[in-house]
Amino acid sequence: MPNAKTIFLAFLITIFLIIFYFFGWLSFPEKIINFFVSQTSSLIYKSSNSAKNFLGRWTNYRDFFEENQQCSRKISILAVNQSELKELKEENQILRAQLNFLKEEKKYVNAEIIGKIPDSSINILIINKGSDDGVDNDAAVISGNGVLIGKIVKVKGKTSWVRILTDNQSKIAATVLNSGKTIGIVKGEYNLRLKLIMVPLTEKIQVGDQVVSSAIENGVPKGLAIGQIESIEKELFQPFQTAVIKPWLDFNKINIVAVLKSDS
Amino acid sequence: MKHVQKILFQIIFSLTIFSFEIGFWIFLPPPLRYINLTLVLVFLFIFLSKNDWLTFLLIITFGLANDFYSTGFFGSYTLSLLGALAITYWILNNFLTNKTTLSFLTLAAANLISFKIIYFLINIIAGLKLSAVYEISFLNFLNYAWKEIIMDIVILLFLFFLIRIFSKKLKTIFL
Repeated sequence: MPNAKTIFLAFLITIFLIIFYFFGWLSFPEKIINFFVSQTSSLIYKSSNSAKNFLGRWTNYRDFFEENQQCSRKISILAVNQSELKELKEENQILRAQLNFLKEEKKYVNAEIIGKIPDSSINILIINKGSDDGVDNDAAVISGNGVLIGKIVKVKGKTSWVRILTDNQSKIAATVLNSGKTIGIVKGEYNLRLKLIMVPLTEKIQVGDQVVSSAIENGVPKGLAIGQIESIEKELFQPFQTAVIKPWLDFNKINIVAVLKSDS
Repeated sequence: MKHVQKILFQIIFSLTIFSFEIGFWIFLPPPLRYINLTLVLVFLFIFLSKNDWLTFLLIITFGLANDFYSTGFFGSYTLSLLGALAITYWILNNFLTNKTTLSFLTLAAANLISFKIIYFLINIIAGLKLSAVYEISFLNFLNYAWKEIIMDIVILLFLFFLIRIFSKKLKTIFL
C-alpha cells in the first residue's frame, strides 16, 4: 500500500499532466497510446466477433441458424427498401438523391469499430476515423445497408465516438411511415431498446409500421431506417402514446460503419 | 536497464488489459459487463505490490488510457483513482488493523464507492463549466453504480480467496 507522501506526489504529477493535456503537450504520448490501444482492441474486437459467429454456426441448430441469419438479412434489406419506396411515392426527387448518396456522391467515410467506452451506463462506440478523415460532430453513422446506428458525439484526430441509438442519452427526431407521417422522438432505453415518444394520442400508429429518421434532426439525412414498431403503449389521461421499436440491427455485432459527411 | 524493462512491461500490460476491456469485456451481456477490469486490477495491485511507484504507474497508465477514451472531463478518471486510493489508505491506517476477509471487503467497498462518487462529482462540475459530452443524471448514475460496485466486490472477493489459497503473500499485507 503506497504511503501518504507517494499519494500526494502522485496527485501533484496528475494535476500537472492534466494542465499539460489542456496545453496540448500530451499529444505525443496520446498518439502512442491511441496507436497501441486501437490496434490491439480492434484485433480483440474482430476476433471476438469472429469467434461468436464461429460458435454460433457450430451449434446443434447449425442449419437453422444459417437460414435464420439469411432471413434476417433479407428482412432487413427488404424493410429498408420498403421504407425507401414509401418515401419515394411522395418525395421522389429528394429520395432519389438520398438512395444513391453513398454510391454517387461518396460523401462518407468508412470506419472500423475499435471498441466501446468502458462504462456500462453509456453506450458509445469508438471508431478509428476522426477529424483528420473529415469526420464532424453530430454526423450520422450508418451501417452498410443504410440503417442508422447513431451520431458522432466527440471527434479527435484519428478517433471518434458514436453514441448509438440505444444509449440512454440518445434522442433522434423520427418519422413513422404511416398515412399521417407521424413525427416523434426515438429515445434509447436501458442501453437495450428503442422507444418512440412524444406521439400525440390522436395519431394512428400500428405494430409493424416502420420508423425512419426525420429531416429536422441536425446532421442526419431524412429517411434513414431506424426500426419497426413492436408494441404500442397508451395510458389513460396521458396526452402522448409511446411505442417500442425493434432496431434492424444488433448494434453489438457491427464491424464496419459509414460516417456521413455533413454536406451529404 | 532492468528497471526500464519493468516499467515498459507494466505499461504494455496495462494498455493490453485496457484494450481487452474496451474491445471485448464491455460487449459481454450483463452482469459480466458491469465488472470494471481496470478498477479491480488497480485495487488488487494496491494491496499486492510492494513497489509504490509501480502501483502509481499502473494508476497513471489506466487513468490516462481511460481519460483519453472517455467522453468525460480529461483527468477525472485518474484523479478519481487517486482520490479513492487516498481514502482507502486513510481507512486502512485509522480503522483497520487485522487481516480478515471483512477488512478486505470494507476496503474494497470504500475504494469502489469513493471512486464512483469522486468520478461523478468531477464530471458534474466539469460538465457544468466545460459542457462535457458526458451527460449524466443522478438517477442514471445510481441505476448503474450499485450494480457495478456489487459485481466488482464479488469478483474481488473471488480473487481474494483464490490468491489466499495459492499464495501466502496476503498474510503480511495488513500487518
